[in-house]
Amino acid sequence: MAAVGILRPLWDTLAATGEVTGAYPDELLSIEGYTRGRLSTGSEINADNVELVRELLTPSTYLQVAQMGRRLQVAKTTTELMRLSPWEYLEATLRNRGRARFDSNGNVVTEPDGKPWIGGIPFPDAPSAVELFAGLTMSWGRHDASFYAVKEYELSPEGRVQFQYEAGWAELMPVARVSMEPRPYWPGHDDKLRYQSIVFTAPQSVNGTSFLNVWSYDQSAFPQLWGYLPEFKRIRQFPTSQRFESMIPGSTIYLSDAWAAGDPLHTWGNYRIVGRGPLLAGISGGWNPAHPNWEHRTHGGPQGKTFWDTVVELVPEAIVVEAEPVKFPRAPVSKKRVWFDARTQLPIGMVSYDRRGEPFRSFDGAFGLYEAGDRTVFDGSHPYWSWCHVHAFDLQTRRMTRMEQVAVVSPDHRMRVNDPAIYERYLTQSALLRLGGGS
Amino acid sequence: MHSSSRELRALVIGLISAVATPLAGAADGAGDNNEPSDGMSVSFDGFIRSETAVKSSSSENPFNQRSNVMNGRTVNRSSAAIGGFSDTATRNGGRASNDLDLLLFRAELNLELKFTPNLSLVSKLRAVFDPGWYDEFEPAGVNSIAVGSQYGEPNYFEYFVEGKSQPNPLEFAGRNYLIGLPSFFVAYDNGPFNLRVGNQQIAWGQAVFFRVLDVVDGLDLRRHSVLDFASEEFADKRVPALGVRASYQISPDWLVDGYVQKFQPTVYPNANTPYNVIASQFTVHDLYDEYDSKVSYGLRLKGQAGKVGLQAIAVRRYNPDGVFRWTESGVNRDLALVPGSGAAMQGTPFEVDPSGVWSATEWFNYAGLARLSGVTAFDSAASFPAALALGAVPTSMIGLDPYDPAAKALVGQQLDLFFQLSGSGLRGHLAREYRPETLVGGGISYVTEGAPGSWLDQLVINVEALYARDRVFTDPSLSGSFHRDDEVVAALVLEKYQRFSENFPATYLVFQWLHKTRSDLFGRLLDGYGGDENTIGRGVSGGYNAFAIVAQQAFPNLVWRADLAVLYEGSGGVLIQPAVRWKPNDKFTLEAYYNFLSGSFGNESKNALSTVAHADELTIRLGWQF
Repeated sequence: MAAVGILRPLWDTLAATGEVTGAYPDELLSIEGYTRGRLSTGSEINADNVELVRELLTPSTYLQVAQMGRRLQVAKTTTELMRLSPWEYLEATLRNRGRARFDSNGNVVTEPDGKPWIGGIPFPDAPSAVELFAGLTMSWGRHDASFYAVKEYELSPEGRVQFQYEAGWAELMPVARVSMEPRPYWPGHDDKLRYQSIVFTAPQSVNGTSFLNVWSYDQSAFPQLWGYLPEFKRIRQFPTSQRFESMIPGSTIYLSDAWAAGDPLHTWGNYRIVGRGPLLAGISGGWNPAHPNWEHRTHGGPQGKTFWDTVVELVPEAIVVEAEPVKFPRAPVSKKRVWFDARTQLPIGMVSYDRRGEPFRSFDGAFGLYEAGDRTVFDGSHPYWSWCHVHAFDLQTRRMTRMEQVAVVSPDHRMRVNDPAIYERYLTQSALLRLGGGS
Repeated sequence: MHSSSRELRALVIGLISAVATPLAGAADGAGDNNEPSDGMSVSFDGFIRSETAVKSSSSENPFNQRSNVMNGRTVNRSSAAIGGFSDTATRNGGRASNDLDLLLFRAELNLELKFTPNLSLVSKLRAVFDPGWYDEFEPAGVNSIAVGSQYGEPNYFEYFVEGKSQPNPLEFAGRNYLIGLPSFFVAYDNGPFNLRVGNQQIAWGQAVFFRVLDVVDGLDLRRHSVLDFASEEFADKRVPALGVRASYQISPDWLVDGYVQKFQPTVYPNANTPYNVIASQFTVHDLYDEYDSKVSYGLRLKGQAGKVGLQAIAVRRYNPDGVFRWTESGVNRDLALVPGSGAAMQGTPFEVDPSGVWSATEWFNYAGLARLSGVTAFDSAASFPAALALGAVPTSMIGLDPYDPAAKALVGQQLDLFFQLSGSGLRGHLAREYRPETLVGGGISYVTEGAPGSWLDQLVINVEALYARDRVFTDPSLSGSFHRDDEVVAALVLEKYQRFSENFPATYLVFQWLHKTRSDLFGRLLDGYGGDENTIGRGVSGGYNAFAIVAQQAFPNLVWRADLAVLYEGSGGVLIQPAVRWKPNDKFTLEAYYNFLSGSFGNESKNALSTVAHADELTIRLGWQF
């Protein structure tokens, strides 16, 4: 298995210096170096110059820039490890290096005692394709508990916002905890990998609609799924294998798409690494502290609303992995291709392919530290790191779903992180009942 | 969002915030977002919608005056065998010919005030208006002076209770409008504990449309009866009640949920309105005022044991559907051919009025439609002392079996005599009362695992059952002693999302089987089944069975959705509802569904759906939300 890092093993370098610079040559650590000065930090990538960096973009991002008016602002490459993911998650990665293995069921356990994972990236050094996905599936948001206040916009191919939703997305780790007590396991819950829910709060037609997934630690089992639909006014159990359906009108997002790894690890298969190389991606600068609710500006498309204003930086090494939905025989996708930042194994791009093998839908996200002087948001003792906005684009119909993480959605659901109250507020059946009460 | 709706929301939220903020301390701006807010927030939204049901057949509601099946039909009346005479009668109620079954305009406004992260006020205002553009009953047209507000010109929304002007304290209604607060409660949550105090609806159980464990609330049938979009189930129908509901998440897998609430009954459509189900020749004295201070309460435990879902309920309630019996009319109006008989008539369950029943033929016909016994219902009415004083002779008094043709003949002669003497017709007077009952029930669910994509993969199987001990039913005789019997209600529910195509989302499929041991879908005792103009019903054995099949196919992006719901009764009733829903953007929604109803796939008097079989219609709903 190829180690991460080009000049020397990345995680040895990170452990020693906290910087990635020793692991990669200069031309992979700055856009100036890579383009030999034709682009620089602060440059805008647009249709006029996109050919300069075509090989640094996913095919869909290239198409959007070249043909749809998307523009990308180039930022300096982040080299300091602790700015690339939550602090405690990276600390745990360093602390627990070499302690992960797969058990006979294909689940990540500790070496040598075979217990559930204890936090951080399980296979940081020379990951195989399935190891990359194992780490991603295990921890989506990289915090022990998160509640994301989300605004979602569904755009027609003509660039009109047809649907606008407000929602809350909650996820909580009962195992592999690195911040919240008790850790690394939450006694009584340690047979679960994750509690996760989504609740739509606006507009009125979907207010109170919510779904709760409870993930087994066993990555061959489908999560249990309960839902609260306002028209039924009660919690009902739902089959959970249907993970390729829009949850709300207009949306191009499936449950399966979450974090590019929305399904249990072994419901997909044939994981394989298909490429490596640098990539331009939204690693930093995605947060917009200038807006009181962190909302982002848009541009491009037929009406100037199709794309988020996006900051990208040169990622020195991305690992491209493909996987197939082996447990979903009638899924509309035949495979997905995910670009991982080799440094942190963060998914920075995804393209799925339809059953004919044609590119179907693409996803690209922007991440960053929520750090801006006295407006800095903390996740405890460190600035909050998280996703900031996402594009989900249907390459065949050219419909776009834009999502952004905001401070608050109606009526008063606010972003929370590593807050034990997230469980009672959003991740129990009782919570679903309460959240549906306004409808 | 369009600017107009944004401005409306902003205005409302601004006004409310201005008033309410001092109550909750300084409001927290959305920008102060590093910590969860302890301040107040307001959210407001809503929609307006037109709902139009266009008739697709010439059938009219037989329970209304202008579409009484006897209107214009000449029938023989004979009381000669008991010393009377023979004549003919032709009911003169006219003939309605409606193009519309429903034209309703609706607005709903939702407002939530969050005082603190744990305390909020949740409210929903619902306002509906029906202009009454139907062939309406005009009392003067048939010289009716029937007593009772709802027996004049049709009243689409007021709920009439004797001695009580506002049966639902948070509802205001007139002939054409209804304004209410189906939700108006304070919600408090603290960790695993949730509490709601105020007016609210509660729904339990996994079965949809078939109400097995969904026993907390009665139904409000004034807005399109039970014939709305099937996939919405009873969201608009459950009668809200003032109460307290508390739930506690005992563990990740177990939830306990309990309530105590003011008893609120089911509300039936009024006489001579499009979906009325109580024959309009009868006057109902709703005695809810005597039960207004009663409470219902219940407890539910719901959880998961491994892969098996479990729930159990125990409820003590007043059955919201109520029970009906004869009652003295209290109307002192003479039989036309018996001057001075008014004093006696007021002690009988009858009132002289042309809007009543005109012949024994009509009596037996409508007894069958209402799933009552024409013979024993007469006996019960004739047993009133005042009726006996007027010469009525219950057949039971002379030892006749109610199914003996001689009993029917004797009842027919007596009825025809009274109708002849009335000079017009006789309205029957019924009292509606409510009886307490104790319910226990449970459910078990299991999600199968099979080969991926197979029919047995992720099939949700759910069984629910309810036991009602000593349940009180309206007796087919309308006797005041009612009918008491234990009843079991059970349902099997199979749900499946099955993908048939890679290009379309999964099809949602549901199969349900409902079995009730003593009553039908609408709660009517099965002992009253089988009667018609010529036959005294002997009831049906084997209980009541209904089967539902639902298919829901969303199109990519969910902008279009097609539904099909089929309800089939083992005894020949059927409802077929194909539907389409179009939501091109987040403001506008178009829904169209067609109701095909029939009871004639079997004996119409032996199924429940024949009661509403007149309502073949295409309903179109146009909604705009803000």
